[in-house]
Order: sequence, then C-alpha cells, then structure tokens
Amino acid sequence: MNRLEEISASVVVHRSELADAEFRAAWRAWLEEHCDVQMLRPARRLAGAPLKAWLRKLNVHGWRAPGWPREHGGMGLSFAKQLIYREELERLGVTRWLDLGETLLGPMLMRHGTQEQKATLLPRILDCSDFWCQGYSEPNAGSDLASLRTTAVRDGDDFIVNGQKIWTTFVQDATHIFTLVRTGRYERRQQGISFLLIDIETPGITRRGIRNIAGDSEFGEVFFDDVRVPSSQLLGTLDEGWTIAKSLLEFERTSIGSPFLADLALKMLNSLAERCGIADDPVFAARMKGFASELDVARLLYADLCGRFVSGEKLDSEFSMMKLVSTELFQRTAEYAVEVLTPYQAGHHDQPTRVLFEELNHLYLISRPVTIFGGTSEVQRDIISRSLLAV
Amino acid sequence: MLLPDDQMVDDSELRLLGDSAEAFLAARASSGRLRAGGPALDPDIWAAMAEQGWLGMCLPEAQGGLGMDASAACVLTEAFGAALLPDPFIAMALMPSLLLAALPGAGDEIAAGIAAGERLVTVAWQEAAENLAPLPRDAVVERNGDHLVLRGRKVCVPAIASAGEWLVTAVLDGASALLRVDPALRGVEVEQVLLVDGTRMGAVSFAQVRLDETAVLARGDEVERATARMIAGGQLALAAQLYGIAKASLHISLRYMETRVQFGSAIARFQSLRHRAVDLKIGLELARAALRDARRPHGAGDQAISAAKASASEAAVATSRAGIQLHGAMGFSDEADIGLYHKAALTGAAWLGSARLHRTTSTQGRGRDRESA
Ligand SMILES: Cc1cc2nc3c(=O)[nH]c(=O)nc-3n(C[C@H](O)[C@H](O)[C@H](O)COP(=O)(O)OP(=O)(O)OC[C@H]3O[C@@H](n4cnc5c(N)ncnc54)[C@H](O)[C@@H]3O)c2cc1C
Repeated sequence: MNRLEEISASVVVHRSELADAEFRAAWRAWLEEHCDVQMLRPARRLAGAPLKAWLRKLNVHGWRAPGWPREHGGMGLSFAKQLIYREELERLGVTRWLDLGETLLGPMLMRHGTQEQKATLLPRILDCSDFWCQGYSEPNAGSDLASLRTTAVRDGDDFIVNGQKIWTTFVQDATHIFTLVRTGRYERRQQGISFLLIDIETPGITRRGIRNIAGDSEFGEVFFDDVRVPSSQLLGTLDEGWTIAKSLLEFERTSIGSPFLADLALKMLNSLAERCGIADDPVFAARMKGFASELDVARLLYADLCGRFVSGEKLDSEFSMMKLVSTELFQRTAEYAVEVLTPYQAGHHDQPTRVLFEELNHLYLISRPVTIFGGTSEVQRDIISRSLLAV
Repeated sequence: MLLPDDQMVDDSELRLLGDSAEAFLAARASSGRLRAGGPALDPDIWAAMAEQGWLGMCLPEAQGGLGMDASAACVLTEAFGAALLPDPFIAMALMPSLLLAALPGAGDEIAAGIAAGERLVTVAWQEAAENLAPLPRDAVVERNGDHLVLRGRKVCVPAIASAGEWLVTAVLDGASALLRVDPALRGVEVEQVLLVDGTRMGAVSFAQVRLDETAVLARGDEVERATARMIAGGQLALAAQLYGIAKASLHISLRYMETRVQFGSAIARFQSLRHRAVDLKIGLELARAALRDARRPHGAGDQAISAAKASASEAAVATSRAGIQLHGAMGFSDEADIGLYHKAALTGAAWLGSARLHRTTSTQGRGRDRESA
C-alpha cells in the first residue's frame, strides 16, 4: 500500500462510522470542493476519459463504491448513508455517472465469484483499470431476454463465443463486457444461460457505436466471431447465469426509482419560463403548481419506500411502481416544458438562456428511453399486475 | 412513401399534384440528409422543385406562378411531412409567395426569382414569440435625408441559415410597410438558434440599418392584410405537413409492431400496445377532420385553421413520441426514422403558434360563431 492508499483507507473506516449528519456534511464539503463547472451539469452524464478520471478521483479520496463492503475496498456504508450519498449528489446537481462494474458486476462477483475472481477483478474495478459494460440484450432478445442466441461452446479449457449483443451502454469506453450467453438447451428457456466475463480486446470481437437521437454514441453493438474465452471467466454455475442476472441488487432498486430527473426537468422548466416571460401566465402557473405537487407526492412515496427498505422490509413490486411513477413524471414534465417553451427558443435571449434551451432539448431527448431500458414500462406493468391479480 | 390522403383531394388537378409529389419524393430520401446534419436547403432539390412549378405555385400567373392557393399547397406539404423533406418550402416558397401575391406590383421581380428558385427569400414579420399579430410595432423605419433607417427586432425568422434576402415588415410613417433587406448590411445582427430537428431559426436585430428608398416594396393597410393572409396560409400548409408527419409516424410504428417479435409473437399482439395504437389513430382522425374543414374551398376562417394547426401538431407530436416507445431501444437510436419524425414534429408544432395558443383562438372563435348563428 502506498502512502495515499493508506490515508484513504483510514479515511474510509472513519466515514462509514460517522453519524449520518456528519457524514452528509463531509460528503457535501468534498463535493463542493471538487466539482468544477463540468461536474455540475446534472442533465448530462459523464462518459469516456472524464468519467474514468472522476471515478479514479473518488477512489483516491475514499468516496468510491459506497455500497461495497470495506473488505472489498468499498466504503461499507449502511443503506441510510448510501441514500444520503445520493441525496447530496442530487441536491448539489452533480453531473451524473454510471459505472456498471461498481453497481451491477461488483455485487454479483462478491456473491457468486470464486476467491480468485474476487481478488483480481474487484480492485481493478475500483481503480478503473477495468471498465465494464453489460452485454445482455440482442437484436432479437430485448424485453424477451431469455430468447438470447449468443452461444458459448466448450472447447477444452475455453469457451468459443459466437453471436451479437446490442444497445450496450459505454461499449466504446469499456475494457470488459459481462454477458449472458447460451451454453445449453432446456425446456425452460431461462435455463442453459451462463454468465461469462469477457475481455473486450479478445480477438474475434468487433464493436461499433450507435448514435442515439440526442446525438451521443453512448451505446453500441458487439459482434463475437469465434471468440475464445478461458473457462475461468465463467461467473457462478454453468447454465445458471439467469439467476445471477436476475438477482436484482437490493440497493440498485432504490436508485432506479428516485424522482431526481423529474425534479431537474421541473427546475429547468421554471427557470426558462421566467427567462421567457411566461412564468406569470395564470394557466402556466397552475400547471407548474400541479407538477410541483405531483413531484412532492412522488418524493413522499419514495421516502416512505426508502425508509421501509432501510428498516429491513422486503419490497419488490413497490420499487417497480416507483420506477413507473418517477420515469413517467419525468417524461410528462419534460414534454410539457418542450411544448410550452420551444416556441420561445428563437426569441432574443442572452447566452445563458440559449445554453439552457440546448440543455432542455437534450434533457427532453434523454427522457425518452427511461421507459425503455431496465424493463419497458409495458413489461413492468405486466410484472406488477401479477402481484395484484390471482388470475 | 405515403400517398397524400385521397379523401382530402377531390380535385383532379390536385390529384395530379399529389402524384408528382409522390414520384418526386420516391426518388429522394431525406433521412440520410437529416442524419448527416447538412443544410436544410439542398440546391439541387430546390432547383428541381422550381422546375415542377411548386416554388411559385401560389403566385398569380402574371407573377410567374400557377395561381393556386394555400389549400392546394397542402397536397405537397402533407407529402413533404410524410417523407421528412427538410427543404424549407413553407418558409421560403409558400409564405413569401402568398405575401407578394397579395401585393401585386410590389415585388414582382422577387416573386419571379422565388418561382424560378433563383432567389432565396425568407419573411421576417414576427416580433414576439407566440404572438401572431400581422402588424409590425417594434421594427420601425424612418426617413433620414435621402435614405431610410431601420431599427427594431424580429424573432422566429425561419430558414435563417438558407435565406439570402429578407422581406421585413416595419412601421413607416405610422403605417405598415414591406421592405427588402439584405442580411449582409451593416447594423443587421442575426442570432441563429439550433432547433431540435437540426434546422435553424433566427432572432434578428436592426441597429440603424441604412436602406435605399427602393427597399420599400409596399406600404399601407394592404401590407397588413397580405401578412395576415401569408400567416394563415403558412399555418394551414404547416398543419398539413404535421398531419403528414403524424400519418407516417403511425404507419411506420404499426408496421414495426407487426414485424417485431418478442415472447414468440409479434408485439402487435399485446393488448396494451393495440390500445395505444387505436388512441393514436383517433388523434390522427381528429386532425384529419380539422384539416379537411380548414382546407375547404373559398378559404376557411382563422378559427378553422387554428383548430387544424392545433390538432395536427398534437397528433404529430403524440404519434411520433409514442412511436419511439413502441420501437423500444431501436426508437432511441438515430438509425430508426421515428426519432427524426419526432424532432420534425416538435419543431413544426412550435412554429406559427403552438397547439396551446391555437386551442384558445379556435374555441374563442367557435363560441362567437354559435352566438351569432
Ligand atoms: C438507452 C438504453 C441503454 C441500454 N443499455 C443496455 C445495456 O447496457 N446492456 C443491455 O444489455 N441492454 C441495454 N439496453 C437494452 C434494453 O434492455 C432493452 O431496450 C429493453 O430490454 C427493451 O428491449 P427492446 O429495446 O428490444 O424492445 P422490445 O422488447 O422490442 O419492445 C418494443 C415495444 O414492445 C413492447 N413490449 C414488448 N413486450 C411486451 C409485452 N409482453 N407486453 C406489452 N408490450 C410489450 C415494449 O414495451 C416496447 O414498447 C439499453 C436500452 C436503452 C434504450
């Protein structure tokens, strides 16, 4: 351990044991000191080199992986403190980021990985030597993920992988991809799927970015052409990868339901409406009050669910419903914002207003897929309905 | 490519126009251009449109046109909307033509240039966002010795990046005047705004811009009447364009639902999606009824046009927005056309009065109609 790591390790121990209020103050102070303008654009999400630089910075300063236990190099925070961690990011309006290595793969490795997998892979996630993307979806396996066709066939000590993944977020930035591949055929389609960890530089892999409607190439596709993957890269039991992938990570469920983006859209709507001189229009003002009230109530439900979750209650469809509430409120707010404000975009404005309009258009466009990824709203409703109805 | 709606067109001349639009668009795909983010106006396409006689179709024959009205132009704009044609036909052909057609003798040379595709003209008339008053107030032109001086501002000037000259409404000696302004003149300042569909609109300021007396093309009440006629015609043609967008968005989404298989069947079999498709179809039918009413011969009232613009805007935005969701992740990718339709719908819905604005004018009007009946 070098000197820096020693210091940060001792700080981590300290932080998870702070009183909640002190923890909040410490995190807030750190963020206020370390977030420059680029890190204060909550409508945006980090990608590429700035993303990795930020994750490394968090790591060096002992603020990385709030939910990971300390034995694996995380902060070891209680659920309550993890919520505080996120609340402060949202309150300050910090640029968002996504690291599936930390939030999805890490916890699955801790639960299902071999000693060796844990020892080699976890530290490399933390210091960003490895950056992971998630290769589940395929051109013909979206909502119906179990119909996936990418195959892995055993050949001596290796698997030979053939097939294609698509919509893989951050495929261009990734060094590794965790995949679901078909290794066997059973009557239940969910069986015979295995969880395979693959180095993206392996010969036979090609990838291509796909531009989205907001103009970013965040996601993309990956082609596997006789790709040789050592069998030591299998996570968990052969043919049982589905259970690993579906063991939804407890804390992650809370994060998908946060009404933060709806709040952001409402703030942007408010501020632009003032700049365009329509904030006092009585019809508009009434709509704004309506959205604000809906957001308040969504927050109440969210706080209630988080509280029950922290005190150990098992919640399942509740968080799925929360996701519907938050994503659909976000979309409706962004839709209304674009509807009432776009006619004003080519009025006379100062530079900050012009930039705000571009941010609004971007926020609107990225509000489209929130009801598509992580289970479309239609499929979520189907699943929730099963917990309500006996037939 | 979708044919213009047959029920809309009961006139054989217009049907021919629809047929030629179909052939024209079938030979020219727009989505690639939109993705590449190039200029909205393609000189080759513009020249070909001039050759078809479309650019000046609403000019009288004396001014080099075909003497048709805005309702006839709807046959074209509906097809343009359905085919995502980005070239600014409404802004740079139809609206300046309607304006000059109502002011005979004023800018005949310009009119002929528009019809020939040789002069790229946009009209700067609007002075505040969501304000459709045809009367200039803020832009004022005054005499100063042997020349004129223009000051004031215009907003929401369409096709700002493509136009080489502007027709500007301004107050002159207490009355309305129409001026020809060269954007390169000293004192003209343009702020180009990038809209969500990749096209640009302008906010323009005039700071003591010096003009010759010849810049004044027309003056008096007739300018205001011509401007009002131009706005109404533009709204009607834009409503038809949005209707075309809505129709094509629904069409491609339904076809996608029929072919996309998940859980062993076409997603079109899932009831929640079928119901959604029906709701979209209802919105489209409402827009069609309103548009048909607004296109009736001998000119519709402003309320009918407002109802058409509002309904078509709502249908275009709703259908293309739902279309994205129905396409799943494919809908969020730039490789599917549905996102392009959605951006075109958002931009068209916001121009020449939003649905929000037109809903108020259309109901006020209907209320009055009933009272007087
Ligand atoms: C921005 C973004 C990022 C993504 N990142 C990743 C990633 O990193 N890794 C990864 O593996 N995947 C990723 N995905 C893919 C995502 O998981 C899929 O988009 C999702 O599972 C839906 O699948 P699909 O897109 O194929 O839509 P489809 O399943 O084809 O759905 C099309 C439409 O049909 C509806 N539908 C489908 N089934 C039913 C049903 N039974 N009843 C009613 N309606 C139904 C859907 O709701 C939708 O409206 C991402 C997607 C997006 C948009």
